[in-house]
Amino acid sequence: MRLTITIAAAFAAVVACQGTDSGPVQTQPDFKALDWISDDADPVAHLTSQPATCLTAPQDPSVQRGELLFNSPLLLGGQAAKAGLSCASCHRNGRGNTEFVFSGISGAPGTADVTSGLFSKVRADRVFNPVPIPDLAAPEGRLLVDRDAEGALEAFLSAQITEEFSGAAPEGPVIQDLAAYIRALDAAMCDAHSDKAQSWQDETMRLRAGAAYLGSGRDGDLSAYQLAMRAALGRLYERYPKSEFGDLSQALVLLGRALGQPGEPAELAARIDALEQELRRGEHRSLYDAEQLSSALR
Amino acid sequence: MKRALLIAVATLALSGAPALAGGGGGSSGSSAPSSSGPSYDPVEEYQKGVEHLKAGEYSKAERAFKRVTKVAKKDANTRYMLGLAHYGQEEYKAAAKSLERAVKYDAALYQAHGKLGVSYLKIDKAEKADAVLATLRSAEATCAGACPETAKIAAAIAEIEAAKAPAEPIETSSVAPLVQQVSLETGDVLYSEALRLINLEQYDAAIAELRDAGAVLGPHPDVLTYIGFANRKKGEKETAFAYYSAALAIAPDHLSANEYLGEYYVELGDMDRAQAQLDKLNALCPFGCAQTEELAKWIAEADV
Repeated sequence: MRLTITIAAAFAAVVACQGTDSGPVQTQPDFKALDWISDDADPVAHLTSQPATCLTAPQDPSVQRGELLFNSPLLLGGQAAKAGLSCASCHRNGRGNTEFVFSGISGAPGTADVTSGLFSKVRADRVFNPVPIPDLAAPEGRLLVDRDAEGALEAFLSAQITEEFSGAAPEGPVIQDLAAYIRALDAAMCDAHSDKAQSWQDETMRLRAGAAYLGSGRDGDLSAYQLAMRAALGRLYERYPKSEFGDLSQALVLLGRALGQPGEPAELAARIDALEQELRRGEHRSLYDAEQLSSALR
Repeated sequence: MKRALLIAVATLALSGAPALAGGGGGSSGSSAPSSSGPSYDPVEEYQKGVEHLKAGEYSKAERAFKRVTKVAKKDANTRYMLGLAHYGQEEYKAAAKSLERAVKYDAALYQAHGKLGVSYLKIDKAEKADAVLATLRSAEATCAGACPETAKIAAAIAEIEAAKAPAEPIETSSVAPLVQQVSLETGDVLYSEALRLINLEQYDAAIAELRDAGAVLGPHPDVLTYIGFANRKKGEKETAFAYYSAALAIAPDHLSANEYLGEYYVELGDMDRAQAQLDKLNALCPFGCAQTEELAKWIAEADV
């Protein structure tokens, strides 16, 4: 467990940012995902594996964009967003998170009080009543809302963001993509009790889904997608530390900054291609590798 | 896990000049000898000081709190604790001096008023003790039982009144514990509750909780930031600025402190400074963060 109050440790884990294109200089790894896991959880296991992917339509672009957004810490609002929580913080790979602990929100690991005033005043009930976080692919998770009734899941998700987390009402396409992803979650599509390795490919798949959308000439506010892509780059940055991957980390920072700028879609796709080559080349030295990670966290 | 203050730590940038204050420690060789010295984490030092107080190790507590004051110069809780450390050593004049600063920096830190009044009595400054008592009674009347601090005001009054007419001499050692046996987790719970109250727009109650959280945790930048935030929402802008500044003095790259300071500048119409805060946040969050987005929204809406 990392006590927040022992801020010295936290300060030691964070690092100096020079405010340049080179981005932050990391001195030791600092993984957001470890901010809300139980004291008893194994951080290496938590960062190298995840519940199996259970999707009915993994290649559907809308499902892929939904997954991108589901992992965005900027979709939720209020204190959750400030803390860096995304939907996936509680629902890893769209499933559950039996190791989730967030003070003031959780009781036992894997629970959350969804009516806490800490995140929102709309649903605050002044009662500390954490409930188990459901696996969204499992039957109990699928029963939370009728996913087949037209618009019901979309309305549910919109209310979750605005009422449970004090977030801004998302644009229509954002909710549609999120709903597509959640509709596709189905434990019947996998060995629900198995795990899957975490990999850089998870992130580049999400980046490609976002890039394709940004390049499709759509009108409207695309910022949710851009921010979600930037966050994906940030997660890669965590795994390819600057001390070991100077050029690659700089490329991640520059690509993140380029996302908000106008540019040719082909150029973005080409940059992701180039990024993938570097990610693959450095994979065994990266913090996706359990041994490297274990050593770095020691 | 990170407890409630994870919101805080999460609000520290991926980066940042180390938030530890003091010199460079002399280990890197990059700083001049004159700027090199022990490097202190004020929160850690504060907590060490509290542990020493609990153990009755008053001189050690004094040293720890003095280190904190080098960084968090105007932290009322630290001055209060330093006052207790002196009090425990029967250094009542020094105690009074520290406690005077505690109540100067936070007039609503009523437990400091109580101990200040008693310290005055110990050094035969009965008039000053009476003045403290009058201040407390005035606060009690103003509150009329409705303030979050009502119980603390009453306790402070009772403490001074008891000291004015002690039934029998009290040994210093029997005064212990000068601080309650409160766990750090309690500080997290208080902080978490304060954020909940802020969400519910109950700012006075939130400030009272944050003050208590600060007493347990020390001058934590999260606590200071949200005391500033709650004060700003109450319209106490100067107080808000002071707390944001205090938070940033300890943790220059604290994301929420930087965001809220930017919002404060927007409210003042000082858009150049607001933009400078946004630029800083953009540098601190190369991959995006809620604080950047929120401040950008404030600036955009102010420009309309």
